[in-house]
Amino acid sequence: MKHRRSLAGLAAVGAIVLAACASGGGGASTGGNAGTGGGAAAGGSTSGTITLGEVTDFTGVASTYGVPENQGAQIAADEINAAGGIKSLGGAKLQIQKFDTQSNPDQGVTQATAAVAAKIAAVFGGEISDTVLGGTNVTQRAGIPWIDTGGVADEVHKRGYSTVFQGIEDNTQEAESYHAFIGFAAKQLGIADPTVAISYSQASYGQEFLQAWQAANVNPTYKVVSSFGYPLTTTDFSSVAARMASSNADILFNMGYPADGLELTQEFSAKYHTSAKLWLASGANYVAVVSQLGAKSNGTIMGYVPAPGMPGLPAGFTQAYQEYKKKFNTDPNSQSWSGYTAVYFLAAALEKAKSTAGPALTAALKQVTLTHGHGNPYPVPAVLKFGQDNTLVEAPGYYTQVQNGASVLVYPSIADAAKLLPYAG
Amino acid sequence: MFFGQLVIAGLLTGSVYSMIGVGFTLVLGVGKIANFAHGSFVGVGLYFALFMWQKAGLNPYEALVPGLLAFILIGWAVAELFEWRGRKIGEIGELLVGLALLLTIGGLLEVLYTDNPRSFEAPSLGGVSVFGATVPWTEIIAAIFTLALAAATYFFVRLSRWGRAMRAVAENATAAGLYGVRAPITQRAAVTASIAIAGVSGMFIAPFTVMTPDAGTSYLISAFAVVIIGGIGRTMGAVAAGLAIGVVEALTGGYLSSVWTTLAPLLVILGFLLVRPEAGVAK
Repeated sequence: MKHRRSLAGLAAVGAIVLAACASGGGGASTGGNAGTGGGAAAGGSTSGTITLGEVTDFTGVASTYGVPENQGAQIAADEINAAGGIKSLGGAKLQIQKFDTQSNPDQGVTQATAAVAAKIAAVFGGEISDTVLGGTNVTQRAGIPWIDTGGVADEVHKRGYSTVFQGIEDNTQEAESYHAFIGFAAKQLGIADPTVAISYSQASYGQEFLQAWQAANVNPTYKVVSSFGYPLTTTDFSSVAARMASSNADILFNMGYPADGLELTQEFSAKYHTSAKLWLASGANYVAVVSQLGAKSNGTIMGYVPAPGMPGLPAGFTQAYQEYKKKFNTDPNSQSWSGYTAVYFLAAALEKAKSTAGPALTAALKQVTLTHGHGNPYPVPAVLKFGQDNTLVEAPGYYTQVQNGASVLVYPSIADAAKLLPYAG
Repeated sequence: MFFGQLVIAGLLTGSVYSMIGVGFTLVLGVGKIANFAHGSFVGVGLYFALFMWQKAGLNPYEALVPGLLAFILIGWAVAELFEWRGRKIGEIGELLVGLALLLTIGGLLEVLYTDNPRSFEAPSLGGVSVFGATVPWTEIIAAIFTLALAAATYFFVRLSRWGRAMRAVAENATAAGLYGVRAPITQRAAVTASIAIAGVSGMFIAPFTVMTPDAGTSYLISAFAVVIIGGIGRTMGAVAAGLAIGVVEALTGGYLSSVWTTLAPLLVILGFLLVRPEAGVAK
């Protein structure tokens, strides 16, 4: 009897050990373990399929970016799979698994934890900086790389997390880009000594943008006559618009989310007329603003993306654009291309690393580049790559202005860019 | 000038809160139901106006009659649902119905329209210049509707036979029943009317609001605030409370840090309850 109990006990222990070995190994390839990001088992690959996790906002107010991002990512995955998949890993096909953070920063940790538990090879996504900040704590501990496609707060990459990559402009780059654009615009419109009124969303992104702006605006180059924040949950922008308009600044500048820019544009066109010559709605979705407000949004400046007819479009852009339009019946926006490039970066890293292990992918991401015809849809810059601090060495930044109810590229001044017009709201 | 603009903005925003609060105070005061889906029906009204504009080419004012009929039918169906669950398991059942409707309506709107914020201005009626700002006629019409609605509800409840029946049921349903007042029908009528008011309110607001499927939640919070300050069952109180909250929000947002925009009305409510603890009690 005693002998049988011992045998049973040994069998049980053996079963437990075997089970632990099976779950710890993970997918098809095994790179190193316990890399710089912590204990990192290889994952995300089963039977010729590599799973990438997209942790972003598929519902809630930020889904206006999250959903197009996923759509762009799907197009990239389709292109890569059609071209033979990840050849160094036996032609493994890419698939994307969604983790919805519901436009709620608290969900960043929850969904990142779910993604790690689902053993994805890598993560991309994030529209709200606070969501990315929380989620990347999880993936850093797990040693899994995360390409941030929408959270622009500098803190995302300034924490020094080796596995976190900034796939778009961060706050500093964006602030410097807008600073340069204002200089260009002031010259074009003949504004001497321009004054600026700033309103910003009081999420990490908005507050850090203001700091980055102040850092870029040394001397200061432009006088900031009004600067105030509003809660992320603001739905009534009438007092925000009134306050900006009453500042009598030459330039009105909002750093908020898509609904903020849309509503402020509507307030300025319908109620609070301003003497400002420039109205920058940096977080607004130009596709939505133009389709819903039309000529009422004339003069509004927003971030832009490559579009048919833009000069210098790289090879492959038109096909990707048409596939997107055919599949989703809408134009891609900035986040669509962020998702697109994120998947191409990860595919290139998988090719180079010949592994789905987190540390190997992280190391490979620092070395790969996207060029025209190979995952880079932007005319400028010609090459996308991550620098030493895991941000893009040169991030794309375009600006559109609504003229006669349509978006036109006004900056950078590449050939055939339209002439900038003063805001007449 | 800036102060004037903020006051006007606050009054206009406040009239929206009042409009929603009038319907809510009716369902709470007479129907005796805390309908958590009240704000959601405002959201349905927003998207109904958008739907009629996009599909039938009717602006919200042209679509008012079909909208009102539709919301009366919806309201009666919801009232039946409340009454059925209330009969089965009491007030908890009614609360659960409200919550279920809140989640269902939000989910349906998200499926049909996605989370993309939407806006439309139909018809374009121009505006009036006040303190250097242009106040669109669409917002002025909504404010006038609020006052008319509140006045109509007040006089109906005070002077009409049906109104007296509602007040009797609100005071004591059992005693009212002894006098021949059919309490269940009266309560259902109150719920139906409140939902119809909510839906039509959404249609009036649609031309100057950015819509999202979860807009109903913020309207519900406003409705609660209005009822607490204005008093349950008091339509004119709802008007005054809504306007006050709107103005406080606008002034704090305009002069102080915008974090006070959310906090200030809540502090007003707290202060009100401290000074008048009987506030929010039905009369």
